[in-house]
Amino acid sequence: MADSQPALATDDGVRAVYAAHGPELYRFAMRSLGDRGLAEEAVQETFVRAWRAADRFDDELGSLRTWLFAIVRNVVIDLSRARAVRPGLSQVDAASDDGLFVDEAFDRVLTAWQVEEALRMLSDEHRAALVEVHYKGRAYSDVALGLGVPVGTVKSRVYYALKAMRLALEELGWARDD
Amino acid sequence: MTTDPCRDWRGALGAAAIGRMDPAEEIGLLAHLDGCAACRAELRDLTAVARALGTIPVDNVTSAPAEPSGVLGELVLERVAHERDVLRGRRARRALAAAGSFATAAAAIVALVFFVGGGSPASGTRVVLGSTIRGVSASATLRSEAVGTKVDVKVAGLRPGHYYWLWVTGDDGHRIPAGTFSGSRGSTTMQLMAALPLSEARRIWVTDDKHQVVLDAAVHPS
Repeated sequence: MADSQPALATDDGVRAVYAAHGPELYRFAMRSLGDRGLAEEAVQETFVRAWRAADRFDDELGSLRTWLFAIVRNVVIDLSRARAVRPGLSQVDAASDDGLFVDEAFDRVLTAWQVEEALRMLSDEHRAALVEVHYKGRAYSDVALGLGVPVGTVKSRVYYALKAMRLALEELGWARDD
Repeated sequence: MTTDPCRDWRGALGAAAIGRMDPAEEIGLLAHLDGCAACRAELRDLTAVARALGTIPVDNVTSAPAEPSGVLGELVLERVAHERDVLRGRRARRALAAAGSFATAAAAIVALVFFVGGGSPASGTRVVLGSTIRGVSASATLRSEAVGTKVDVKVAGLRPGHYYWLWVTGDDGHRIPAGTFSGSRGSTTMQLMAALPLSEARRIWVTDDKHQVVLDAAVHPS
């Protein structure tokens, strides 16, 4: 029997799984639905569905987190359809009235959320290097000057930040685009 | 994994992946990549990560993340508990339906057991609930009923006007709601019911409207 079933079979188990994954499920739902109430509803529904299907979870096929995110993905789609809320409306413009928007738009929201979560998993030094150089477009030399470290150190931090990002993204179930 | 001779090119690999290659290093890096399959593979990996980075704007990186409300965890717990109760109800109804044809015989057997047992079910299992809150006290008597466990509870010291939940936890760790009540001045006695056989009850406890446990006791059915 899979490990997750005992984990979700008792109140303490549900509490522990929520503590480990609930907030990131919420952030994902929030990013997708853009509404706090709906996002909380999505998390509750995700746990109910996970509890119902616990005996179908096989930890040899994937992590509990990946499994939960597969569930929340469906929950968000259902909520979106049911309430005519478009996933990631503020960021994704792929919503159409024919209901076919979901997969592509959702995958973009999913990747964006995975990147945000992976960035949070970096060390402060690595994240700062990546944000300053990549997102803010500052020169390596400027960033090095500001931090009081050699340019080579900033380059090294960017390199290791990307390496750590890759691992974190893979842990979050990232599907590469190549 | 790259080998040690590749160490000097790591910074350049990162820069190349995010499109910030130093022109002075470009020829040297390209020459290294021509002869190093491991670094070529790593550059492909890092470039894929860099493309993913482009899916979010800088504001998403620098702003504080959205966090769930503090009660979401308890709401999740309650939804799952409710789902569990619904499932138990269905099973119980199926079991009752299956047992329907034996109802008359079962009634006779129960009557015989009570007679032989000498009234133990009537006396029930009595527990005193502990509390960390000064002035709060409670005791309860749990009795087995056909539909679950009847709980006669006497409680004093809970805040008037505030809502409280009484729970009974079974031997499988599941909590079953026995009902809600509000605090009042003085001592209050009430009767509540949990859909759980007394023989399976292991804990009885009370939570307040902030989901904090305010009264608690272990149950050891006789």
